[in-house]
Amino acid sequence: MTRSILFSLVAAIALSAPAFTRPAAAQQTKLLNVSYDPTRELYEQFNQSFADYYKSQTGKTLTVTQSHGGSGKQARAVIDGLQADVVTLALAWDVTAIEDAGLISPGWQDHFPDHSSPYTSTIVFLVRKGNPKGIHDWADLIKPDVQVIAPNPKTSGGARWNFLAAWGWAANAPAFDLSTAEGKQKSDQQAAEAAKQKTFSVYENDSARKFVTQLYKHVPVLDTGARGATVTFAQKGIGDVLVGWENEAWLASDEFGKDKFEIVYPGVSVLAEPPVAVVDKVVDAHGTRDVATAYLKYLYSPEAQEIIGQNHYRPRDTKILAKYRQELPPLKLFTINGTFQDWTRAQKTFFANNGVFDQIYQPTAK
Amino acid sequence: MTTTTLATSSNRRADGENPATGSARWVRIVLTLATVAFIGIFVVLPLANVFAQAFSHGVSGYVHAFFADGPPRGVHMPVRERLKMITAASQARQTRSAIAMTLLVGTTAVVFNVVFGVAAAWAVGKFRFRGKTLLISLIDLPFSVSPVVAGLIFVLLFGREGVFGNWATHFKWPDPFSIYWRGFNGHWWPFGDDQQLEGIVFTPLGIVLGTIFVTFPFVARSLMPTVEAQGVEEEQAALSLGASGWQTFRRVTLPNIRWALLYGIMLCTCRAFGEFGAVSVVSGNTDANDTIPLRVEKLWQSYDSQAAFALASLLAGLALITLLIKGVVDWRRAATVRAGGGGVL
Amino acid sequence: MSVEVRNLTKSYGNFTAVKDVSLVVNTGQLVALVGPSGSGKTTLLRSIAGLEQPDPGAGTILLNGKDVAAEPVGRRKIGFVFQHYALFKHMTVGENVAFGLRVRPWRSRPSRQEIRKIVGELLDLVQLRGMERRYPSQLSGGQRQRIALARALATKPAVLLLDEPFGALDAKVRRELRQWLRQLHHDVGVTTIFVTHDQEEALEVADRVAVMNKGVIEQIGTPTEVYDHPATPFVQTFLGTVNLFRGRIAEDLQKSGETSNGRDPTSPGKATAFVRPHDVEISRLANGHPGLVGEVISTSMTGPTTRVYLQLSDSRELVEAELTRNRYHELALKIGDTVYVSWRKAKVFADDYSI
Repeated sequence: MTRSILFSLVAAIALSAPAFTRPAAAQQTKLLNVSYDPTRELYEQFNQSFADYYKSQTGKTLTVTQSHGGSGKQARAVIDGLQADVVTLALAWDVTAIEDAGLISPGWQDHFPDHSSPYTSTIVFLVRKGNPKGIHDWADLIKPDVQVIAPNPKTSGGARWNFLAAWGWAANAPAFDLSTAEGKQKSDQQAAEAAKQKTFSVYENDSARKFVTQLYKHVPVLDTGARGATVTFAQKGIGDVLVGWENEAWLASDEFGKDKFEIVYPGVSVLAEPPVAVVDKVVDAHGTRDVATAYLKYLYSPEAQEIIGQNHYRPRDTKILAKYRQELPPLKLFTINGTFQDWTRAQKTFFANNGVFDQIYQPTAK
Repeated sequence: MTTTTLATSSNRRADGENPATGSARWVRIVLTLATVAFIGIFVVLPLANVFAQAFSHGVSGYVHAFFADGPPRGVHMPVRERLKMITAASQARQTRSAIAMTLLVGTTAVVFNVVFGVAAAWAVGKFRFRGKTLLISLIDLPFSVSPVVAGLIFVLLFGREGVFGNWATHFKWPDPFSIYWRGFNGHWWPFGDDQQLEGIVFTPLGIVLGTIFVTFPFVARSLMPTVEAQGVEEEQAALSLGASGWQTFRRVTLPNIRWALLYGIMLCTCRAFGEFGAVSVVSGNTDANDTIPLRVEKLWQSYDSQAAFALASLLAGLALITLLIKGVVDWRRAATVRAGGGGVL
Repeated sequence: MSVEVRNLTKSYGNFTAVKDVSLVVNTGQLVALVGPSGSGKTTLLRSIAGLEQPDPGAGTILLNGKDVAAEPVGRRKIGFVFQHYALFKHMTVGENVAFGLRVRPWRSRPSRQEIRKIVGELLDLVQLRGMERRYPSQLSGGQRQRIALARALATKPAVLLLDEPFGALDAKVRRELRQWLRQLHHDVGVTTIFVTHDQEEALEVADRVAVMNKGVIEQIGTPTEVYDHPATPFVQTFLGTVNLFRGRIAEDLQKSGETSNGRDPTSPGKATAFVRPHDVEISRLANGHPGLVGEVISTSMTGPTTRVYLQLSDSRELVEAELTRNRYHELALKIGDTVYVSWRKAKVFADDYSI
């Protein structure tokens, strides 16, 4: 009997080291991309595309490993030592946090086009088929019998975009159709002016504060990540409306069928610019700076922009964006820089400990 | 011997008609039905559902969750189809890697815990020393610490900004999946490795640490009562008869604790394979660090519930096998006791 | 092989179990260590075996004249029989007996056939032939005891150490096994030390008896020596029932009977006389002896003898007397009768002795 126990232990060890007699393979290049919650499908496809491209260019095999989670949590893990070669997070502040920890050199936003943000997205509503609660714009979210599903702004990047979108709408932030050259110009102009200002009345806007306070009273549970919130809404069937990423809304409606959900575009929303960056400390230690840079640069290539469009993110490439006009319709958007000056300020005011969110949100259960 | 006799006689008493209470019969039936219903609703039904969902796309769907091909090269097909196949292939590959990771982590944790558990049970059961009660409480600690906190403890210790952060983040070790046999020509150590991993948390090493932490009471705890009841006399007798320490352990101690040990290993294995919280924190959400439970959640969050259930069915299968082993163990034990072997658990 | 213990001290924390004990056991002797529980006898035995280590620097154990301090238990050539036998529950009787042979290093290990033969012989010796395939749980207490002995003898030990060998058995089996152990020792001739709390057992079985109390050996000698000539009041009281007569040496005690060779009876001061029940004399008449007066309280028959309980009229102390049946009938004692008490033999110790 004892012999058989010992034997099975040995057998188990032997089985769990499957590649035991493999001859030495050529050194593989590895990259770790630490990303936020909803980009799983996007990067799964993009990684394959880039690996093929990389092989054709260099002849080397590349393996990209993904890590997905709430954007804030992911940034925390990188700061705690998760060896990310690149980060592709939901918002600039989370990259700034890694920068503050000394892992990314300042000026990372200028290393790639469009403030190092190869795709954009926005915040929309996903409602159940037939829109039974009649939700058409932000104001409808705080109707008495509406339950809103949204993730926690303390941990999720998407949730912070939600918050800013709701606040900006309630504060009547000027918004522009960015798909037109005129709208883009106006928006840039506004941002340039905002950069010079010292005080921002939008942070003190009373009606915005009231609206957002009301809004979070309608949220029964706060998931830690955007995907968790989508699962809560779509798979568990909780709530009347999901406030979240445009791409998440599309993915849910793709996965579960058009007969289950409808996407509602509000009159005005926020332009979300998820940033990408090379983690300087890590790539220097791993010797992967070149491949990491090439990887992020490839996000701007037509092939990648196509994959981005397929996954319902808004490509920066205007030609490809136009191709997906049906699914990603033009709408009036305000930017974080034009409305809130920058992420550092928004983060400190709204989401830091004892910030506005902590003041207005009390868990309903208590 | 005695146990069996007692059990039989009490069974007989339960089976027999009880003239004093005529209601005994229907009470028995109601209680039995209630138990069956309870187990049906809370155990059998969910378990059956796991398998039903896993096979909801048929056997090929089940297999597809583990083995899916990428898009054929050179064949023209719509972009969306092609991307879907890429996703499916990548998902299946990661699922397989999660299974391998679980086996590796689980086995390592079990081996460590057996060594530690036997040593701890031995120390606690056979010796008297200062601080013994404290030691027992410490062994029980993982039962009372939330697994997520357990994971965070390791992040706080070995994370980049942790207590041992400087050392830990630059700690290099070979990737166990890249170890291969290179032979002795020119080397004293016959194994080579292709890949080195760096750091402790957010690597498989961190996962092993987290798993060991949450599972270490199982073996020690299931051994302690047996070892303590065993006393030291048999071992002293073996020593006085000229047996070496190892012979004593192998021929006297081990046979006496084998059933308890097997039971502890089973509990430990199930928990190690099924651990979520601690592992979730130290995995850094990295796909390469996924174990089966982490992977199940990711599949579920990718709206691939059939694949999630297919993978979960492996854990359910493990549970069933454990149940089977436990049955065999109980039966064997009863048989040994009946034969007079006295296999005390 | 001879066993010699020199100035051994062993303590557990604050408690000293064995205090500066010395003991010599010659080759082939059968020695009993007897004493009440907690007297240190088992500790002494286990120290000889090497199952306990003496306090650092406190004592030497010599086997055949050789210091064995550095020798672990397995190399001391001793056979140890535990109080609860410590048979290997998961092994058959045959496997138990063969254990000591099977764990030998490969070179000195007998072949399978030889082992089987030795086991057979040993089972013959302990009169349990044919029990090889049984498990210990299928044996009676006495059978287990004998298997434990056979197992210990299998390695041909030079010294056999037995810890309370009959402690867990019922009275009848115990008496049988005592005789058997004596016989076995006679046949095998191995130096044997056994521990018991039963003085009767010690006196009956052993060649020599060491009486222990509170960690020291009070007296060591042949059963007759220790019984008839106890060196201390403890030995006197421990080895059988005694009556105590308190008085002044050379006056009352001298008056009331004969004295002893224990302590100098001429030394002045208080003293106590110890008298065994069968040395107590009862008479109807004060026939010349300087006796004490007592009253019959009760009587009881125990087989061939009768016990008579008396209360002394001056000290109100109780006295137990053991009379032969004939003598009892001769006296025709009734409860309430007043009789004269004296003794044939007494042992006197001055009162600086504590019991």
